Amino acid sequence: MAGRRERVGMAERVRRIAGGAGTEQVPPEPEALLLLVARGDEGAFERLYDLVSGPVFGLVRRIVRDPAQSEEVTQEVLLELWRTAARYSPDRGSAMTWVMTLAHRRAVDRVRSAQSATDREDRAHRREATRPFDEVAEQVSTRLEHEQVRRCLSSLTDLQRESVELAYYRGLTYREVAELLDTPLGTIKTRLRDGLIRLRDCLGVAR
Amino acid sequence: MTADIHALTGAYALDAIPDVERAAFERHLAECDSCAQEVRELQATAARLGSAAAVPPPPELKARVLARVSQVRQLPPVVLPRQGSRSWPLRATGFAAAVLLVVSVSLGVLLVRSNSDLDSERTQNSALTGLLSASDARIGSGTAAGGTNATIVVSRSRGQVMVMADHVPPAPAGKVYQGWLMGEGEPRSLGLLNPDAAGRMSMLDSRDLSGARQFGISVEAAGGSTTPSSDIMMSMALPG
Repeated sequence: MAGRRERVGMAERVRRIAGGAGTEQVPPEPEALLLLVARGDEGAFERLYDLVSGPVFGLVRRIVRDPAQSEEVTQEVLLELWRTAARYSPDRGSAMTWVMTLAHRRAVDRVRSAQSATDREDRAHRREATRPFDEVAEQVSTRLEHEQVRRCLSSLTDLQRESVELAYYRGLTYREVAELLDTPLGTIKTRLRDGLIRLRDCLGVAR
Repeated sequence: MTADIHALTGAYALDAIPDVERAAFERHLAECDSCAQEVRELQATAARLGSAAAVPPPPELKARVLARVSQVRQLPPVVLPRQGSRSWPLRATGFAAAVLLVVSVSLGVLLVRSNSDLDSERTQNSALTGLLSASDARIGSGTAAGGTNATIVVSRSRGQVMVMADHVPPAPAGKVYQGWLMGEGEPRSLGLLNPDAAGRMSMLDSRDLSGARQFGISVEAAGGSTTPSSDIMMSMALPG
């Protein structure tokens, strides 16, 4: 129920943004925007940017942490959306899922490659231009989403929640999670799966 | 699919699988509809975790991204490849690239391994020529996150695989790089790979390639290992 209301709210927000440039016939979904972007429509890309840049940047920053690198990765992800829009296929999931999956992957690539490169040079130090963020007030819809996810996360067992958060928000592999939580590998694999399944049901993710 | 592998759907949806296991799991996904469906749902769930972390980026990022967009070429949609004459020019291009690579490799060090004695330069060259002229030679290349490029040439009929990589960082102190073939069964070691001073490394190996679908380079303790560690530098699909 809460999930349904949230979905409607999101759709309205999308409609407002997508319809903002005076092209009334444009269907108000990120999927439709991607379709236009795939045809080279830069205006549609700008509307897609407004829609996804907050979620992408927030997630990337959560994983990468370094502000300058977070911006770099966010830029990479958004340009990748532009470049590969024609490769998006709706039967593999919603556009938002596609975008966030790509963003997570890129952020994780960044932190893992940084790990393996520490002997060579410390990139984090090289890019020490730590620019403080303007912490803009979160949008209302973001806060609702945040609230719902927080509530659902708190319905997990401690081990499920810790495993999921370490894997997703810190970009650790399940082996690293097992090491950190001093728990057998098989248990962590299982907790990641049943934790996510419980989250899926709590959030009302479409089956 | 075994219960154990099925349990990886969660780790996969969270990008919490080392690359080598990821490749193996993706092959399973291609064959297991119920797993693919579960992964889609769990990825959609993970995306919600991501959206909940939303923070507006600095305003100047938008101008930067929009400015870059006008300079970036978009990929065309995927069109299913047709059989026949179209495949030839693509392969020819592949071979041209391979020949250039062979030239550049000859400036570096090519390590040739085989059950027979392949020490002499002439034997190396003939092994290379043989591999490249094989009717089923396939070439593939990829770039790892750290900027390492690798190119692989495979001939399944000859049972030969050649790997060339450049921009390889020196292995961490006390560690070595090790190549692996993965696919059906346990990963099989291709032996240790040592980058030269210019960051290039290469090898040519003759062996049974049946069931091999993936090539990977891992970071191992000095002396190498019998199974790949979770520290994977890069992995890519074996062409062909």
